[in-house]
Amino acid sequence: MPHYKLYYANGRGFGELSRYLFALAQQDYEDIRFGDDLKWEDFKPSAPYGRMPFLEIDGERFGQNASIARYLANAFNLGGATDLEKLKADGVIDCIQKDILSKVSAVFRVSDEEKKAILKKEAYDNTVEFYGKLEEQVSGENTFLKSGLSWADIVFYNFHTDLYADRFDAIDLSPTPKLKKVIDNVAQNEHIKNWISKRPVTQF
Amino acid sequence: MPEYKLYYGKGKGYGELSRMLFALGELEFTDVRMEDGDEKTELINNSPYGANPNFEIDGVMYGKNVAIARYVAKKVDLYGKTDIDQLKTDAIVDYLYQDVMGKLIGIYLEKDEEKKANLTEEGKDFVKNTAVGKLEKQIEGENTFLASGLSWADVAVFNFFHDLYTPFFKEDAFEGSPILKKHSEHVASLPLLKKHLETRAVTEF
Repeated sequence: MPHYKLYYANGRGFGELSRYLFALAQQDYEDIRFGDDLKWEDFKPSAPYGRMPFLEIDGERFGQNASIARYLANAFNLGGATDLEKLKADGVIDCIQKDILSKVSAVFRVSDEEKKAILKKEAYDNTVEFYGKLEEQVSGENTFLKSGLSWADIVFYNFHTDLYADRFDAIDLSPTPKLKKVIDNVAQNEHIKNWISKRPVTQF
Repeated sequence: MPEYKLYYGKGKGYGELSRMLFALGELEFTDVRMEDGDEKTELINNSPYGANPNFEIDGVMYGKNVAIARYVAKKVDLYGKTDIDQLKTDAIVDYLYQDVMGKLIGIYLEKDEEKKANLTEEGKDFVKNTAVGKLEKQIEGENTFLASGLSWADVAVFNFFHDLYTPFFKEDAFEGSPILKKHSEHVASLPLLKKHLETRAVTEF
């Protein structure tokens, strides 16, 4: 079994996706969080692509959040059963990370309150539109993939619950009942519940 | 053998990486290049994520250009042979599309001429002084990112500089970066890719 070390800030943010995957697999790893005792500034120059999170696997470091998560998902049998299923999962992830998250992230880069309000509305409208598209991609009973739980479900849960939630107008899931089932399925998972009860409580 | 159909516009854009991979693998597919119009609009509106390229496999439609390219890369054996190598190629392509192209798309979308000019200078500076260096660091093979040989990461990076950066910024990004210059020359010289470059439709982007 490889020795894993995940490096990220002390928060959920873009690190939590990998943490959920480790939890689902009940895989040991070092959950390293930058802060006063461990300064990100000291690691940034040598961090892969100069960003966090990065994952250290048996001493070698790898960057890019989605790529790390895909690697872990495949290692933990959460990647999808066939190449076609993986293609589908990749599409879901790309939609969330590129089409949806980009408008959400844009809000945080702006400080002017009036501009922020406009971007927040755009982010909300955009998210609702793409939730409609994602609803069509749910092929299982309560999972994106027919074969069962995959990282696509976790990415969606993570976006909806950790990244979007609380900061924007709440999204009513009743027009997208399949997405609601996906969320509930992840939320009810024993390993996810257990991780959520143990993890540090952080603002973001 | 599944039936593959790639739907895109007439240009290279976000469809070209998959086209290059099909060419490198000598894998057959239908290269549907659509004129702007009702048919294209309808296809896009009905597609999984409301944008081209779209990829039809035995009648089922899949979206998202990088996801599609990754699938094609697997089919033509250019994804990497180990899970670590695959992670490496994924990270390089991710960096290219998210960090690099993500930064440049703002230039394309900017209407204000003065702002556009400033963003253009910033974009060129970022690519030449930051992105190129980060990409060069990832090269572990003889003119390939993976020590084991050619992968889709090489093709993606080549496609970006050759078909997007240079035509758009009208300059060579490799002055002062001999490593990436050699990398690009190597990829361009691969017989199947060379043939593709010589025979493909000529479009501005």
